[in-house]
Amino acid sequence: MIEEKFTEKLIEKIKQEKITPKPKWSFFLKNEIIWITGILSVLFGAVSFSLIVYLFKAGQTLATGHFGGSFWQIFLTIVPIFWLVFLALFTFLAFLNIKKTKGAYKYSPILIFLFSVVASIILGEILNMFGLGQKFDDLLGRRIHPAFYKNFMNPQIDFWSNPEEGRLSGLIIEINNDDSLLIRDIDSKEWTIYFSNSFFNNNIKFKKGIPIQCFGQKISNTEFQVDEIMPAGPGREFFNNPGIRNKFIPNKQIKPDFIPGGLIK
Amino acid sequence: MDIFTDEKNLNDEQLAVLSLEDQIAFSILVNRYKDKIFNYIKRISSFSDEDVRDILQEVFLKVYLNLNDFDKNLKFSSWIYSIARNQVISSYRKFKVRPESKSVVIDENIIKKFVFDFNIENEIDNKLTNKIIFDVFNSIKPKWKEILILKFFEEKDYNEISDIILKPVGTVASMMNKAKKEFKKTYQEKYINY
Repeated sequence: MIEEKFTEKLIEKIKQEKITPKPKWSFFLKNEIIWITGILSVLFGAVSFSLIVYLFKAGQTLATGHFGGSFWQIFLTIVPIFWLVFLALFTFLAFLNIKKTKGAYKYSPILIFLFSVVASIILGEILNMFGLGQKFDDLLGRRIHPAFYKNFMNPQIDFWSNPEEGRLSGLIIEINNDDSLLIRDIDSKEWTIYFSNSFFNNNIKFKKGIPIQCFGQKISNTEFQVDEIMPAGPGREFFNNPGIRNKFIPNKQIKPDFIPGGLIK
Repeated sequence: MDIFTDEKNLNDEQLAVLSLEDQIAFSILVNRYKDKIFNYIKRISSFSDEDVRDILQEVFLKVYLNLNDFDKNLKFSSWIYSIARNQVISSYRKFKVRPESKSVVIDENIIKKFVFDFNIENEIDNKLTNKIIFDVFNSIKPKWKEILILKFFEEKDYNEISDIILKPVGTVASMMNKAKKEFKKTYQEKYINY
């Protein structure tokens, strides 16, 4: 049994030390911060997932026989490990935050983890349905340091910059005639590409300043024969990244210049 | 009827709300829970009575400080037990000692219920005393001991235990099964041929 005076002493201590209950807002703020961090983590996870889906869908051409790499080479070229880690990290952060919310202990941690994963996936898929996966990639391609973007966020850039192995991408800088274009690749090198008898993917419209990518064969150090040509997919805004653009076109900027009746096939 | 008598008729949850403005209400709550929480801390820990008193004081101060965080959907008793449990865990971390229960006097009816629930009536020949129970408790894992203490000595139901140890009710049920098995096995190993 605890002595009677315990209560008296306790109340005395509270009075003497002027202890008061913490204000309601401090708990409200703490709960809100946990919820907001949790929601933001789900959102970041969703953005990662939308990028993964976008890169995966756009990278399907890589897996259709044009690329002789192993399964994992193809997979990691299509979906870089960076986004998988990003997704895992933010899903885990969402899980930790949701677990800290009031009443979350009533649910199994596995259920909370699955909820975090599914929430990121569903929201990511919704973002992608509205084309936001592509928009995020465009934004990152334009804004992130070129070396970081190319090496970690989108290995498809390197994949399309390998004329030796029949893959070339670049920005159209001149439309010569009905069957050739002048493009500049990411190393600022100019290529004349020939596309007579080529397969035109996705109703491509040739305009100055738009990025394209193609499969084919290198003819010489400045010429490339195209088998299949298509608008650039993931990383298309990489050409507008200041770090690339300045090196790329030192004295002038190429602006999209619609050519009426351009080469549409 | 004076204000003090009126307040004594209020339930814990009402008193908790009132305590924000009125220290008399809080002192009624303290009087209601000081012995229960003192015994609970003794049962789940190995601290001296003096240390338990200090921990108890910390528990009530935390309750007072966090009154605005009390979730009115919960029972006040679950909330204060949860705070007491966390305070014991913090004290263990502070002193780096292993939890070990103290034998405390337990009501005879609770002992009978415990013995009946474990279906070990015939085996013990009335030898199952407080001391033996706590000896077995100290031989099993703290998490099993804790859940058995909450169920049989603090007489909490699964929902309350869930709110105290902050685990889902399903997990509590499964832990309870394992704890009972572990208790019975350890008891038989130590005392069945005694």
